[in-house]
Amino acid sequence: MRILAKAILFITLGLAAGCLFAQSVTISGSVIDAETGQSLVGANVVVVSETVGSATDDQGNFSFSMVLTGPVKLVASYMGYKREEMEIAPGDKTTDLLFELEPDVIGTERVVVTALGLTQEEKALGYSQQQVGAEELTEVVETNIVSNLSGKVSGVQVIGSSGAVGSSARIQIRGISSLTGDNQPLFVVDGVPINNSARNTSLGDATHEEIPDDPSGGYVDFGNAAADINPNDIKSVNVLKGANAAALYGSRALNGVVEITTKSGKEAGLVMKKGLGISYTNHITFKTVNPQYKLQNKYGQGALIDNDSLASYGEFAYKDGNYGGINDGTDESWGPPLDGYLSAQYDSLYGDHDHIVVSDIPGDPLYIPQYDSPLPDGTIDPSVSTWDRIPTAWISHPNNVTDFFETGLTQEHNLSFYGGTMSANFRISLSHQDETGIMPNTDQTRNSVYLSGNLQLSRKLSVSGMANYVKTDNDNLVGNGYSGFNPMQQFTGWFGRQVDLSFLKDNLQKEDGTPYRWNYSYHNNPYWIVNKNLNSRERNRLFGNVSANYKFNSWISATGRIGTDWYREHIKIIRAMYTNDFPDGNIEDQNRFSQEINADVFVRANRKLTEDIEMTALVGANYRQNNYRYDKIEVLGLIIPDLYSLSNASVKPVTDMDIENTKHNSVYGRLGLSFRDYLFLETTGRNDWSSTLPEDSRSYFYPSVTGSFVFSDFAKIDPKDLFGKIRASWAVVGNTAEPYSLIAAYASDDPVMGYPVLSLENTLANADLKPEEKTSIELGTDLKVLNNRLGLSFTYYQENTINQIMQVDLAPSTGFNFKWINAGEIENKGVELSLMGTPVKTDDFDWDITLNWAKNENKVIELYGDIEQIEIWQATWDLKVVARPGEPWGQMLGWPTKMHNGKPVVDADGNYQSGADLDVVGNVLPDWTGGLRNTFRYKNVSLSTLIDVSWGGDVFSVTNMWGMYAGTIKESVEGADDGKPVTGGDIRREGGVIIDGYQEVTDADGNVTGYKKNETAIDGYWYSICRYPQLGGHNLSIYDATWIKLRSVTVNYRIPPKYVSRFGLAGASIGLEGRNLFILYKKAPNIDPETGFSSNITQGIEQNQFPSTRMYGVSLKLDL
Amino acid sequence: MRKDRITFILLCVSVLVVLFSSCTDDFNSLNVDPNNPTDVPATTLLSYAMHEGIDQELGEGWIHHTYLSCWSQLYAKIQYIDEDRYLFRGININTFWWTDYARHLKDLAIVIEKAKEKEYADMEGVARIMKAYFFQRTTDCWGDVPYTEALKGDEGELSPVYDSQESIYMDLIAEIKAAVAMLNGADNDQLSKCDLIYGGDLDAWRKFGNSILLRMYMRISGVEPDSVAQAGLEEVVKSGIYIQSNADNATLAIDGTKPYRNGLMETLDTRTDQGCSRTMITLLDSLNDPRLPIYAQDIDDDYGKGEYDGPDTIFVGQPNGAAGAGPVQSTISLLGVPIAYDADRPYQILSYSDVCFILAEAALKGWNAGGSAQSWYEAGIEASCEQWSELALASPLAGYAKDAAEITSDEIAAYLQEPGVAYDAAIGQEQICTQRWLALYPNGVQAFSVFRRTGYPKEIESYELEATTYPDLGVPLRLPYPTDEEARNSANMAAAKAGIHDDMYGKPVWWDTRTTKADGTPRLGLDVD
Repeated sequence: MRILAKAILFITLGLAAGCLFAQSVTISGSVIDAETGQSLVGANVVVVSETVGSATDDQGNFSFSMVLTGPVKLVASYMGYKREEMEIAPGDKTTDLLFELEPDVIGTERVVVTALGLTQEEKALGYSQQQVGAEELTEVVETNIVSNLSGKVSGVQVIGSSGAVGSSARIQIRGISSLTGDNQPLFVVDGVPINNSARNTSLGDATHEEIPDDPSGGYVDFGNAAADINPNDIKSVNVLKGANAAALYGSRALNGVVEITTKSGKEAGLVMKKGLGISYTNHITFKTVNPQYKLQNKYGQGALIDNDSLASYGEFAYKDGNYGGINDGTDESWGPPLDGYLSAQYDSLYGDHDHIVVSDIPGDPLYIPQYDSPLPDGTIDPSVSTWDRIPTAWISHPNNVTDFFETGLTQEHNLSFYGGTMSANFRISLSHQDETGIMPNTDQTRNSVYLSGNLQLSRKLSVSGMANYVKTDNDNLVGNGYSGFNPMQQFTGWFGRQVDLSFLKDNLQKEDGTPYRWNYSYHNNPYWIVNKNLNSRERNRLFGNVSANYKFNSWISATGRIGTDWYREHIKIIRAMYTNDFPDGNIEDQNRFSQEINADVFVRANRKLTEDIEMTALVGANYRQNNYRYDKIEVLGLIIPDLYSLSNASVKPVTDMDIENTKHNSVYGRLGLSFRDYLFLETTGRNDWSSTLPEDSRSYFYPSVTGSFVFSDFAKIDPKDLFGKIRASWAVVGNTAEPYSLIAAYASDDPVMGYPVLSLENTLANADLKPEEKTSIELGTDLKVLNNRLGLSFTYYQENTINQIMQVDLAPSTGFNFKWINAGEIENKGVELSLMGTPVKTDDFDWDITLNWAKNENKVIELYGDIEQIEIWQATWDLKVVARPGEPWGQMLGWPTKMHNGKPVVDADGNYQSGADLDVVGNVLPDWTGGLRNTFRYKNVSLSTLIDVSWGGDVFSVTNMWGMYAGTIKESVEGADDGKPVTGGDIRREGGVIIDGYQEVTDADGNVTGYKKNETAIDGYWYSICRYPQLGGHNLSIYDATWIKLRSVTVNYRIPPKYVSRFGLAGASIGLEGRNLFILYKKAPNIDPETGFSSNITQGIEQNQFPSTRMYGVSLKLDL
Repeated sequence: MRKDRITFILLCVSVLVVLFSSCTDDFNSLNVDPNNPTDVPATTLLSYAMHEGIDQELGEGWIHHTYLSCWSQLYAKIQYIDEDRYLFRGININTFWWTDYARHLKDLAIVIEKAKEKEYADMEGVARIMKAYFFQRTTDCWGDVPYTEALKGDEGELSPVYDSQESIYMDLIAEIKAAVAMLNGADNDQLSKCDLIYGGDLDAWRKFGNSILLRMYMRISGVEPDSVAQAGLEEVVKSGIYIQSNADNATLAIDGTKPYRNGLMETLDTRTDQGCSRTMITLLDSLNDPRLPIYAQDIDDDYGKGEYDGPDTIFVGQPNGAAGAGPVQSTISLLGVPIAYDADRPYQILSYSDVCFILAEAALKGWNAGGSAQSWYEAGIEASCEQWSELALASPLAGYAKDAAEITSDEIAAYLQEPGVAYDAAIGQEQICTQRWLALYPNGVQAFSVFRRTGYPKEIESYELEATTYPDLGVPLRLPYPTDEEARNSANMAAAKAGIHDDMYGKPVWWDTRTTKADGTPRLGLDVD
């Protein structure tokens, strides 16, 4: 390997042996920022214990002469950076030396990447941004970069991926600013935007097909596209939060920018010394289920036959699983008690049925024919309709759900090569990631190749390029949402608690192909779902850019850059023949092609105008083209089972196609002035021309002004004592419309009886759309004291978005459901706070703390005309999520549970009741979010922990609603333990519960005259059934969504070089990592309130979520 | 140095070429939807409107299979009984409403507009008939609804006023009259390209149009002076242009293969939430009705509880709105195979039998209906039996007992002599309306209107549902107004909504003047001053 490396180095560099004679030598080279590669002007390079040295010039170069008689040590230093040393001896090369200084992490002189990938001195910024370094991103193998940002940046709310393989994560910066848009920030890699669309594909269950665009059905989460970025290739992530920071990226940066800078060969360190660098990292992570659901184990499958006389509750006997027996088609758990039937006097209840055996021995269970009870010949076949089953013990299987899950395994291997000279460098990174999920038969394989290079063609001209090819394959992904293809729908809702799944696991189907199921009326065998109904995907993606930079002179340079991001994605969803909802089998075959091209040209100038005033200026132009094509072929029935070819269609396939093409042209400029390096002013302006807007309003301009004042420099305070800055900014960003919103179109459907059919689309087009506009102001301060040991960053912002382009709901009697309009105003006000501290800093031991906290207040100021609300989420079990004037975005509208003085008002039966009219029953937005990161380093060992918080907001939990209704979750039983007997008859579950609340006191006319404490017990069945929203109100299933999680714990050990060098290694480290270890605090039972939502705009509606997972792993990093 | 500069310029030129090769000249053409047309032949819209609109009433529309067919007790929910207890889901109601307005009614309005432009009388006439047919259904369900200002969102009318049901009916009658007149002798070139109902037969359309008029006249017979209802009906009868045999029936053809299978079958194919109602089974059973084995499936007598042991053909209905989680489902008859489990059974929109019963009722009122009440009544029963026998025999499904399906003329004759069926003028109204209800099966949307107006079959109101969500209020008087429409057009809806309480009670629709149950006791749910 070493030989190979040297050979490559030799070829790459094309080095010829140098001849070295002189006594007096010139020592020259340059000093650059290790992170950004930017030249450092005014850095000192000195020879230790000599009086020679030099400061770098305005190109970052230094040069001086000395007589070299023996080895000397050179030291380069620059304020805000860590010093770097280099030893040279006579005979060594002494020119073109390169010092790459690492920024001092909490230094005051940091240079950061801002819009267009350009670097700027952080102290000159008049707005808030926050950087996350490579170490923080790769210490844990979190394959989705978005999830990885959680808790690390103030004001950034991440709704993490669910733990299902390949699932999406959502990021929200400074709250919701667009009423109906996706509100996602723009993702940019090395200055060029990339796609982060999240793809949810509907599962098209029969359950909801009546309801158009109903989001409450099932879907497959195919992840968000930014997850394709390999964290190992990322050098840093900068989050530009406000519209201000983003002014130069144009309209799509309305919701902030996640600016990713990839590693380049420059990061290899001093190439001349080290030669070719090779680095290998490996993560192995295990994932286990961390169940939040608590299921009852006291009653099995069954239903009440006659709830008037609760005596006959809980009957069940299996015959064919489809109502042939006694309640054997039902999917609720209101059946006979499990594990021992002690009350002999109730034998008579079951005495009529020869199919149930009641033992005389106290404590013995009932013997009931069940789906896996053997036939007389000893075989098991639940598909046979017969009473001739030998009843088996009616006992609990407490782990029947949890045992379904497996241990997931993620392996990641990354091998990178890097190297270069002063004038050229490169980095190649190869990555292989293989992941299996906790849901059986779910997986993801991702292979990526990354290549970047820089070439300094001359002192004036440099070119660079980056290309990233990623291939993602999933053989199967989890079905989500309220769907029969999400096994959680039955497990936590519609399930027989006595069901032992082991037979189903071993026996999927009969010889004739038909499946074995525990229930033949509604539910598939969960193993059939995951093994025979696959949601697969293959995505090939390439993104990258090439750019050229030319320096005209010492202060003017120009850059041309062209970049693209394209992918082809093939999704194939197959449904096996005999599957419930798809008895004939089904294939959905989707192809997508998406491409974005960005071309930029910009000229920069940087010059001191006077001794005190320095000017930076930039003018540029951008061309952007987006092309999207989608086509789908759906086969509604198969001829031959298990052959998923489109030619195996038993009926004519159904097709669909969508093409979207847009173009945008822009010119932009930026002018910055600084006065004595403590007062900064910057203005930007951008004009866009968008193809999706009408001709008259196609062109729109938006400006920004920002300023910052480093008062500590002004007052000439030593930065060690205090660094202080205040900043302010104002910006406007415009935004454009969706394509084809201007002219009404007709949508076609499949021909009926051979006749072609078309229908006018339900959305009223609007030929008069204008661009939407967001105005943002921001004030803030950055303070650092105690020699940078304590830092604080505070920001207040207010953002108002007006003229929003949205689909407003129309009264359907107009003939339309929606209309594209410009209207509305939404306001976000908030504060963001970051605290950075280093309580301990010694040679051997460091302790760093970072605390992020942010609070956003959102308010919908106005909508459109008299319109009272906009539905953001149409309805899930009659619960809508809406925006209403004067109220925060994301109000949940549902049937309120009737309350008085904070307690429920129960009806005459003692049960919850719902109010008469729809009302606000919650809000999906959290009150505040935060993160606390602690990093400890002792010598070569570091430990880091991250605690992540989302406080407040509400979640509507379908898991809890139907789990109660169907009697599967634990609370549906617990009422019996607390309650008192209703009639003195049957006790147990139907002993019931007395709800802590009031009953109305009424006069003769029925008017409410007062309230009294409720003393009426309601039986367990009706108590649970009243979760049906119109009976007991949505509030019964709405919970505070607060959560605090121990997001990650990592331990890293850097093996001292002396131990690894004998193996030819330059460095090595090993690590232990844990992610999503504990939910430290939450209020919602049975669910993880963070996840389970689809990746679109709406949060707060949990529907049979994928269970939480824990991850543990080890990592290994080797540097050659 | 010069070389550098040239190199850079060359590199930049490639960027600049992309950048400025396309100014904004092509932006307009770029923003024309490449996926969907912006102008289409009216024929394609008419086919779709027919299919979608009828599918609501007889196919996959929840309005009929989960709501009105249960509320009119043609069938019952046997699992998740909520809707059968009058517990409605707001989203369903919203869906009925917008499907009516924003889908087929709007498309028909465009067809009419386009047909007028091009002077296609066949298209205009048929679209006007269909539009009136659907609008009648809408107003029958809700009473006052937007009409004159409806469907004009594209003309800027975003808050349409609610018209009174009376004025809507008057206009619908005028519309159909005009349409029927327009079709007389017209050219059918366009219609024959898209007619899913009569294949372009304009005479058949005139009969269908006039038969809708018959239905409207009878529905408003209680509120409109004789000059409208009686005179109108007699005029149609006199013209002789109305559906006069099963061959004239308005039926919508169905492909029978996915994605267009019979919508009731599509609904019940994968889950069994509906079964036969006790009301229906008891009535058919007590009358020895030969349609019973067509309308219902017998239950397996070997279901384990022992209470129903007996002959193989046992039919058991589910009481509507029962309490509890639902019956043991093998103990309840499912809807008949030809009714609900036949992929290509066409939708019966308006049948000869319905015309017969309308004319029977007219004759009973002393109107000139071209025959006596008894003759029309018997003709109606005969037509219904023949119609369903034919459909049952055409049902290709295996396992279906064809012997039971065939209703011979002898059986019909015998049935007409059965006690309770044999015409008895003293209870003529009850017999006519009850038989009309039976014949309308499985069309709950129409049956619900017949029941509301006449109170028959009386069994519907003879008991209160075991688990009604609205105790003491009885059967709903109407559908609840949709919350979507209310949220977006509340000011206009307010007046229409006045007098309604508990969403469906208080105020009946305009033509529904009935104040008593069949047994003479006060009808529930009405607010009487």
